[in-house]
Amino acid sequence: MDVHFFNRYQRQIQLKEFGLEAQQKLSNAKILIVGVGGLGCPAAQYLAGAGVGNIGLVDGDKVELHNLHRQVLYATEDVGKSKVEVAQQKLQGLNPSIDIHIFNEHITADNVFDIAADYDFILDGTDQFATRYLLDKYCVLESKVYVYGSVYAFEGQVALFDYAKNNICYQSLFSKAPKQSDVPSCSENGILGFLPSIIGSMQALELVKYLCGVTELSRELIHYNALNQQMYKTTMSTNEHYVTPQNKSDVV
Amino acid sequence: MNILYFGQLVDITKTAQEELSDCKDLNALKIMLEEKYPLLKEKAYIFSVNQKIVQETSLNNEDEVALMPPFSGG
Repeated sequence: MDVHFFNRYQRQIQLKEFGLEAQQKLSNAKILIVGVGGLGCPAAQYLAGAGVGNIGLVDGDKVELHNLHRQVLYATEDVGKSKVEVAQQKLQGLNPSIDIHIFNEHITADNVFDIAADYDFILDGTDQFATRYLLDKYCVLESKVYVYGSVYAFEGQVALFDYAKNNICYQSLFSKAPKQSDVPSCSENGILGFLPSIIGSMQALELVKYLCGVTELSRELIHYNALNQQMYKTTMSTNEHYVTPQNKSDVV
Repeated sequence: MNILYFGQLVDITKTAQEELSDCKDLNALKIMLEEKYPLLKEKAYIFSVNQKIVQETSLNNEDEVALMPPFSGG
């Protein structure tokens, strides 16, 4: 075995629940991170460090000064630059042995089938309900794993969906889509940087545990409250009213 | 029964937890809550009863019911 490979990942390979087999699964994994902001930055950083072989980054935004307190891949000198270009450079510096592809655009119904085609897992770091439902429907149709995470003030939610395995998806859980205006975003409501870093890391962790076979598919919706440090886990069930998308036109 | 509110619902209820009694099922509880907090009617949320997400179920006074809205921030 390549001595650098072993040295780089030695601390996770030595974990008996993880080991070499899981490490090799990570090397072969293809993960798309949609939105490289408060959730996507920590997720991308730890996934790259852990040795995910192929990472895609999607974001059409440029770095802004008010991103820096929570979007940990960016420095002051990066303000005004493309997020995915800066992120690619930082992550490639962290781990030159992995492939990182970037998409300097926002994901939409028009481009999701092209952008996400090569990836098996989608980690959602976006901040729009419409995009979340789009990614969820796409993953159901294409039998891909969708990892949901979101934050509101001091609270966060995480869930991993593999509809092909248990017939549960984001839309079957939250079947009534709220209007975007009903739920204030980080820019309207404010956020401390620590929370999205915790939630983004939890998304990446749940993804890696499942991908590597460290844990079985979970049916849990995890709710985390950063004010009182309480976790509230609830078991998701199938929804008989959910209509499975049958083809591309049901997604776009 | 113990009622828990999460996220933006707390802005409406002004409490994250309260005790209510005598609701025979989830539908009756929903009607009671939306009468007490009319703004809830406009919100999207799901019910978790004893830490299991359900669409409908009978209730008794020992149950714990959580109202969980989706968040969108990222």
